[in-house]
Amino acid sequence: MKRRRSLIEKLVGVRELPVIVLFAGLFIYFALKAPNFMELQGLLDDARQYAPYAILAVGLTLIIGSGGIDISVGSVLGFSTVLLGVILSRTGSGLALAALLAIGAGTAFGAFNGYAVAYLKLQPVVVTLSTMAAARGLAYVIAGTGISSIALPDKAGWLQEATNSTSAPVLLAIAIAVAGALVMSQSALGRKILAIGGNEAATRFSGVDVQRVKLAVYAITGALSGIAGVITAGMFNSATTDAGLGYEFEAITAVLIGGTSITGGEATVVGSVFGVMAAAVLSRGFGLMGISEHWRMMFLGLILITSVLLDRVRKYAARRSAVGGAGL
Amino acid sequence: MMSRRLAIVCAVLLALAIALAGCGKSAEKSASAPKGKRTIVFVFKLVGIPYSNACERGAQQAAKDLGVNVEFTGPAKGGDVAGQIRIIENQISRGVDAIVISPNDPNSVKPVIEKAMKRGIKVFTWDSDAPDTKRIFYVAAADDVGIGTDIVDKLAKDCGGKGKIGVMSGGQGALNLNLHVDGVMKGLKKYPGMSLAKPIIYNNDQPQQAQSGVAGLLQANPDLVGIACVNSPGPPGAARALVAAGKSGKVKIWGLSMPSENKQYLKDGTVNGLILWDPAKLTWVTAKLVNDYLDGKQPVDGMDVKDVGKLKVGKNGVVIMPGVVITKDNVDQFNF
Repeated sequence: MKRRRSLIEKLVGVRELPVIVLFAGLFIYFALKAPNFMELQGLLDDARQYAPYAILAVGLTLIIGSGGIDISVGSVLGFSTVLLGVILSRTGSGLALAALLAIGAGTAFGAFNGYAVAYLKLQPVVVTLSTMAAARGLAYVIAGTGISSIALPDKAGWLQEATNSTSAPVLLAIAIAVAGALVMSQSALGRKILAIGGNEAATRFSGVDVQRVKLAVYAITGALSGIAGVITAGMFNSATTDAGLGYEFEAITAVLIGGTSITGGEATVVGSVFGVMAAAVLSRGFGLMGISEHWRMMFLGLILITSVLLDRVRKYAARRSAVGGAGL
Repeated sequence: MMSRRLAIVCAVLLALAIALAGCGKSAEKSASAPKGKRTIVFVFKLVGIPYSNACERGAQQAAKDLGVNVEFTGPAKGGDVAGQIRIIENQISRGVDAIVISPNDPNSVKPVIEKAMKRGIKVFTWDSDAPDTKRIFYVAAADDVGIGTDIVDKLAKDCGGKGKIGVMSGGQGALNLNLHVDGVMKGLKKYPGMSLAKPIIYNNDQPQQAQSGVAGLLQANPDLVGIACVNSPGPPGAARALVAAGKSGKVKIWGLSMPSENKQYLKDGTVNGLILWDPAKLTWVTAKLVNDYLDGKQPVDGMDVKDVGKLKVGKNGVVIMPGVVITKDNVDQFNF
């Protein structure tokens, strides 16, 4: 009896296992059932389309791991996209400078979120809800009245080529994910993030500058949103004020499906990437089978709530084994 | 045994998810690889709103009438540019015969349209255009400027060609509405006896603002003889203001709106008439034109389509469907 429970606990203990099973299961199912699912060009195109979500998910893994949340990522992405378009189309600036400014603007929004959460001690969901509205509003303002889409001029041709005709966005997303995974598992910053997420007060008492770490994770996520915004502008061939609309839902969902705990303290970048891939496979599979987007949204929601429940089960199992099976 | 209970809940949820996915498939009637029968796919801005539902009915009717597969899809939420691109890419993977798009963003669909055309899939637009792309033709609901001039022509007829008229629009930034207003201004020039009551009212698509805006206009301009409304909350909002001011029938109202919203005001004479298009018919005629194109037949200027009227084919492959005029005499024929 006792041995069987420990086996289950061991399996349940692998953070990424559920999402890998989910991804593999969906992939195999759709490969068999969805017509033309395995067509290589289509798979590559879908991977490209999901690269910005993966980049956002990496940043969100850090934030959620630290016990916070950021629902402004989609709007910050949108602002960066529009800023890039505005600078390129209305000034003499070249692509590199415009991209740098767009990423800088994303970082500034992120740093604001981090400052308000860490130093002003405001609730992350309230701070980032405000930023979500403010960044989207500002995107409309700088685009100008009545303008919802700014076509990128020829000097951005390189960006359009790279994001639409090559796998550069996917490679960049992979590089960012590898860097994020290394930060979380190998660096002092990663350990501090998880310590804060696990027990903020204890971490503060042990001498960690909690406020600086929090500022850093939000600023990093802002910068990543900016990078995703530049890629999105290239992919959309334009700076549209609707860029990134609703991305926070899919990115946060991917992180939570991936095995990162919503209460912080435990996080996995690898799991988040699998979460994004599972969402991408679901979108492609349902799309090819002619199943409406409404079903996909509902299905994602169900997977999300199931993942959060699984996380709960895992925590109970861990606590029970830690206190010798006394449990609840 | 909290954990066991949670595990059971998880298992039930997963089972539910799988079962629902199964339902989804059967309910949506799995669209397998389109072999043999020709497949035309309409990709709208979003699905599930009344306007797109009407378009979808037109697509279904076209499938029956033309004997080909006509599918209708789009993102589940508004403004989802990326979602719409993904859906178009899925259609490319499926290898359908034609894709007809109403783009969320005319620029963003450019690369994916090029990709589809390169793969031999014919791409068209309807409802909303992507003029700077390789799409073959665009079927427009109406001529944006023409709607404005049509409204003024109707008002001028009812007012005897003289007097002061007001103009009401929706948001100041909406491109199509601004073109309607341009049309109103252009139309007014034809009638030297008519003048414009300033300012132009913007109701921001809010019925309440439509009513209060007209109430204010009536006070500022007691000699007002007519109101031209270019967005759908306009005519019923203006009608409520006229009824409240006791000027029902004395000030004429013509505009762009839905028949269902205006039925009572058309019947009691507060609203004189509406000009609009039927989204189902627009989608139906688009499917027909696309199907004809795949058979090697191009749309021709002045061609008369049964139940739709004469089509105008302008430059840059823009096909314009004639608008419908709705008055108290025919309002009962329309169910939207």
